[in-house]
Amino acid sequence: MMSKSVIAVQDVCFAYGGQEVLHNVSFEVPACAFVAVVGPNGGGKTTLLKLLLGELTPRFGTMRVLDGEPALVRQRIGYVPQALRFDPGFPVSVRDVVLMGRVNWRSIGPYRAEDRRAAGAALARVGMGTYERRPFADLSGGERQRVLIAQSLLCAPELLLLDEPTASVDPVAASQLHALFHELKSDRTIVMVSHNLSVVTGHATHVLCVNRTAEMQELAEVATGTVRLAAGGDLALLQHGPACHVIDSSAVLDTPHLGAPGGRK
Amino acid sequence: MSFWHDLLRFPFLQYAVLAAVLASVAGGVMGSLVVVRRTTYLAGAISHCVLAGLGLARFLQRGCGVEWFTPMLGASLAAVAAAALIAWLTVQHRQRTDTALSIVWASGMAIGVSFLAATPGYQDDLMSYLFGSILLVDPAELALMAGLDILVLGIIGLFYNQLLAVGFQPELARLRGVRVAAVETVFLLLTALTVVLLVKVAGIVLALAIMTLPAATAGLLVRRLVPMMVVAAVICFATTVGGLALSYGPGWPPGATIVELAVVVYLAAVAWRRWRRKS
Repeated sequence: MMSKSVIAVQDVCFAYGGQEVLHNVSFEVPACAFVAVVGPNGGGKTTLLKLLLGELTPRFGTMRVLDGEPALVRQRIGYVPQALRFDPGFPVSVRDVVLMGRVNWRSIGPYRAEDRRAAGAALARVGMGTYERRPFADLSGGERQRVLIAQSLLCAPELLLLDEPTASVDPVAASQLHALFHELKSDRTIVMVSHNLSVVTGHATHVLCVNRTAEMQELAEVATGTVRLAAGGDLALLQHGPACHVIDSSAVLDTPHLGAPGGRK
Repeated sequence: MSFWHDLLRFPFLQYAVLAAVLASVAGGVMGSLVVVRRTTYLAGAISHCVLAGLGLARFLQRGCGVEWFTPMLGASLAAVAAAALIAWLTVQHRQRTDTALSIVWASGMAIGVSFLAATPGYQDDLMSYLFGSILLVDPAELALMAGLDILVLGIIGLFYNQLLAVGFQPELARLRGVRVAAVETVFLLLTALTVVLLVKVAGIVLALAIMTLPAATAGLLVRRLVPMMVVAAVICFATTVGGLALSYGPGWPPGATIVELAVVVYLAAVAWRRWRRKS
């Protein structure tokens, strides 16, 4: 039986000025799913994430996230950016950065002891328990991403949105982060933009192909055939078999904009 | 003529040291925030804009007989107006920050000069506006400085976490539910109030140095913000009183001597850090 949808997107269109980025996008994400969002550069993946965060408002269509308007449930959503742009001279410790996960307009005054305990626990969960007092700028790219994940966990998110979180880290750190995501998906829904197709084969339960339009497929469906882009055309992504492997990753990762929906056959 | 001997005898020197304490507290705390956010020219623009308020106060007092409109009141109003204008231009209308600061900097100076030119009589105290007059602080001004200190520290205590989050990464802070525009406006107003405190010590030209040099020195010694604020306040106090003591005997201008001492301390900290890294 299909569980209740954590994300319900219906006929959403979005444009930056006159340039339409998403057209009639509809999909649902069930609870505790791990959705890998794939698609070409400029296809609308990051825009979709911003819509889910309530940062952008769709021109048409409806979006429900955690049974509410995206902007109103933002406190229940964890978000980890691709790579944090920050001033390395800014004097913050790892714990300072994690505690920023508890900051909001209503929380004035110093952090409570409970906040500090939760920050310590979140850091321990991502394997950074001994780094609390280290300057954030001294960490490697993979360690910083772990700290940002700990920060996003501090608000106990029911939904975790990850925007290419392993794009700027080395393969070893990426592998460790994927293992961490695998562990985190046990008690929350994860939506992750990724160019790394090992994520799709190794961890995801669903694949969302985004290229102006979007189509959601369960992993079993992908593994036994192809991913069909809603903008037109079938793209072979995965070959079924005991060792699922990519047979045409470039087709998904580097496909140029496909033009108007249905325009490519 | 010994500064330390006279300090026990003359109230004006005791007031000056008390002013140094009050200026150092807000200067160290807000100076650290200004330095780590790389917004030192914000403080410069606000401090130079203060000349408009000082000029207005002199014009109203001497030209119109409005005695209650004191220079400190004029300075406070001008600083807050400058902060509000910068916030309006950069936060509300997304104008380039350097452009907004230049506008505020130049227009404040221009308005100040116009008011001073329109004020009847000889402008004998112009130098004290430009380079400070810590030896002329009176108890009423000390009370105002103490009030501003309490206001600045109280607001920072309440909103420290928001100020830290927005300073570190405003985009992420916004996604966590922080009202970034409001926090930026609060930061600007706090900077303005701190500038008013420092103008009495070092004048509108040198207040920028008093705000940034001790904090920059502290930033070379510690790597977390709260310890940086404490160390900056201590350095600010030490250089202010040290500059006063050095200038007292030879009769040098105190504001300039304070800034020169702060520069020496900063350069010494840079050299110390370089030596420590090598060894």
